Amino acid sequence: MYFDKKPKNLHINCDVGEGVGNEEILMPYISACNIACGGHAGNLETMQEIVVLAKKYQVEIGAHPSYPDRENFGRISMNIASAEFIKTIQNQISNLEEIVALHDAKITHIKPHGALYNDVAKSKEKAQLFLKAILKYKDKYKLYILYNSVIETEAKKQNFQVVYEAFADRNYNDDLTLVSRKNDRAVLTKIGEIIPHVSRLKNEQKIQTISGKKYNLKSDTFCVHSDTISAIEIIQQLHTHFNVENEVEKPEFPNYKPYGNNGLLLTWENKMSSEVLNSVLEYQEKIKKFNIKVILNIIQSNNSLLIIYDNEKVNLKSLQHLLEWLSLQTSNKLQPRKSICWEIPVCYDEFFGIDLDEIAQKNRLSIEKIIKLHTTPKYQVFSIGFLPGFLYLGGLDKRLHIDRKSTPRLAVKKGAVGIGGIQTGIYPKSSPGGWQILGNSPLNFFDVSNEKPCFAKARDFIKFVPISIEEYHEISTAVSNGNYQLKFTETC
Amino acid sequence: MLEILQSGLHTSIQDLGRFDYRNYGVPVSGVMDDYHAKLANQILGNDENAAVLEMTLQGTKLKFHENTQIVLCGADLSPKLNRSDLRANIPVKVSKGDELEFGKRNYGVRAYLAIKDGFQSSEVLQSRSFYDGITEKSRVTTGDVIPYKVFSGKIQSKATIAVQQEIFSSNEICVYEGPEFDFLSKSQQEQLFNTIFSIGLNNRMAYQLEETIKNDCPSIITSAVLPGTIQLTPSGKLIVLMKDCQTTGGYPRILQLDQRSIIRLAQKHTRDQVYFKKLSIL
Repeated sequence: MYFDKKPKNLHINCDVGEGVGNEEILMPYISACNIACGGHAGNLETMQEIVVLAKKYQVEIGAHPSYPDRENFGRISMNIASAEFIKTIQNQISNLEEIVALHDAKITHIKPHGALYNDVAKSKEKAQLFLKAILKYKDKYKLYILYNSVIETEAKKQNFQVVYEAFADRNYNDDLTLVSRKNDRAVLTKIGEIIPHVSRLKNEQKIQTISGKKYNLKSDTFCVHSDTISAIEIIQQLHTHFNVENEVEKPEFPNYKPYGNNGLLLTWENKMSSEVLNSVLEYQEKIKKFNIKVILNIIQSNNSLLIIYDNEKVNLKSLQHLLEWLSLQTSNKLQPRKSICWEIPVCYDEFFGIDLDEIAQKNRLSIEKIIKLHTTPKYQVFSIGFLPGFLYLGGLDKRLHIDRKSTPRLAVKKGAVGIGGIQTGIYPKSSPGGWQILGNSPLNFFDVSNEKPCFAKARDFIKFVPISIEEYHEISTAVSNGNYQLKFTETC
Repeated sequence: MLEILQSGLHTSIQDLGRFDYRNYGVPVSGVMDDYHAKLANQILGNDENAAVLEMTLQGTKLKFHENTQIVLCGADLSPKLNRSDLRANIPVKVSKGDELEFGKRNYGVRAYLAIKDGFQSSEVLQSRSFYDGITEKSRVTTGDVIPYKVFSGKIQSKATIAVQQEIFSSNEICVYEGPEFDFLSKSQQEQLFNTIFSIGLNNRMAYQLEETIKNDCPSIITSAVLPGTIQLTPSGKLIVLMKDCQTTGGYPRILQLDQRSIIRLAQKHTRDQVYFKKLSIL
């Protein structure tokens, strides 16, 4: 599944594939990514994963070669023999090229990593050596560099296509180098500082350095470091500030609420209806299609989804931002789905229907009428909960609404079909319960030996079909022998 | 294999739980006290999800039928290996025929026995955690045997790991606001944080608290609940859901325990007292 991506005003790039594992959250907001290709981090598997993601989100792919030093994450300058250096850089880039080719994608640029990035910005010798290593890619890929750096002069001499990179979340010195991370003002963390900093660079091509002076500085792309949870928020806010033209009106539902420190609860209108259920299920399907790995579980119920997420990879705000963005994507319209109506045989004999008399009396109905009213509707499955395999069903005739028993039974039989308040349902196993019991179904509603332990799922329908006590025993035997064929019809 | 000579009050096999079947109504289950179960597995070099034996309060007696290494963590239930005292938090070699017995409870409620490579009972829906209706049994009973792998190697015992006393002694339960917290009035909220609650009926499904909060909240449409969720019942009693809780519920979810507090509560007993401290999420 792909979506339409409009060209972005602010070109944001992020270093990825370095083991942080938050790429899927970043991708919707960025224009380019720089993929670690084995020098300081990354392996074939991570490269593959990111290429797939980048393609899905139409993000430009860059190679991010480094000194071959995984131990120090490529953060320390190395003096290695020229031939060896050239070989490792070319190997790293060709690793990525192979993977990109496999996925019918393409590389757009190269960006050196860490200590190498700094070295080529300052040292003529290192810059020349690096350019020599990537010479064969000169006409194919652009090169990300710092404005006014040593490599800029060298690269231009050799007609490399350069892209000026500025840092959205870093302070600069007067000589246009980055303030060392040893200084506690090196990194900008407040969005209130970052937006003016980026606006100045983008609109005036000017940088205000740490000393407060302004200098010219060209920038075509903005790097944001993405290795912290709060960085994702910064990227989302930059995206919203620069790239979202009009605030899209947010739909009234769902409501987003935190639930513990790793849960996000999405709630729709406070009622049990097919329309609400459809919205819930469509939203759930959208999330599932995007296969967002920081989402560990989704628990669906009648008018809500509870999303359990990995709180070490993403915070609540960012996740909500991502989901809101996702929910507005129109390119992934869901196909109308056929729904299944399961036929559930139920024996309403008084042997099973131990509360039929009470219902008849309280609701002033004959037993025949009760059975008729109970077997007429198609009930929609809203969710499964309470007990393993217990289906929440909507659509019970009002004339059958009846309060739960004043004293619950200690053991209601497996298969018992009952009414509690405005709902009807089937006990998938023997359990204490206060529902009024009107019959019993010989089917198994929960089977641990199946990969999907319940045959019915939310949005399906079920219909109760009355059977005699003889039929009940026949079906019961067939079920336990494993040769009972569930009956169902398909409807649109 | 491990033979259960006496089952004790409530002994069951548990791993970290069954997370992917909640949409079928299957509870998470798993060890009530993740900290000590994980610690026990870690000491033996096991996967943290390896199955352990969770023992409650008293009375369990076990016999080993193969050589292996074990470790005990969690509540101090006066463990004795062949009648001599056994230290917790340290790997211990056991031989064929050895008997492990628990006696008087000194502190805590749940003790964990981990065994090299974990208990090898059968997996159901990707977990070995016992739960009634999912696994064959909901607790082990006298005479049961539980398979495990023979191990005669040696485990490097690292420096002794100190018992984290605060897990057992602290009465502070840290909570986030639950999704229906704003159903409560200002005074109800204050009452919640100014009351000392005593623990009433409790088991692997839930801990009930005795003191009541005036409740005039409407119920909600059935929605997901989690271990650690506190529901406010119509009678005004608070119910703290634990690992075997149902997957959905219709009572207002007023608070949610943090992970550490679920562990603390799992080591609390009837009549112990607790109070709530509020945490914020953002």
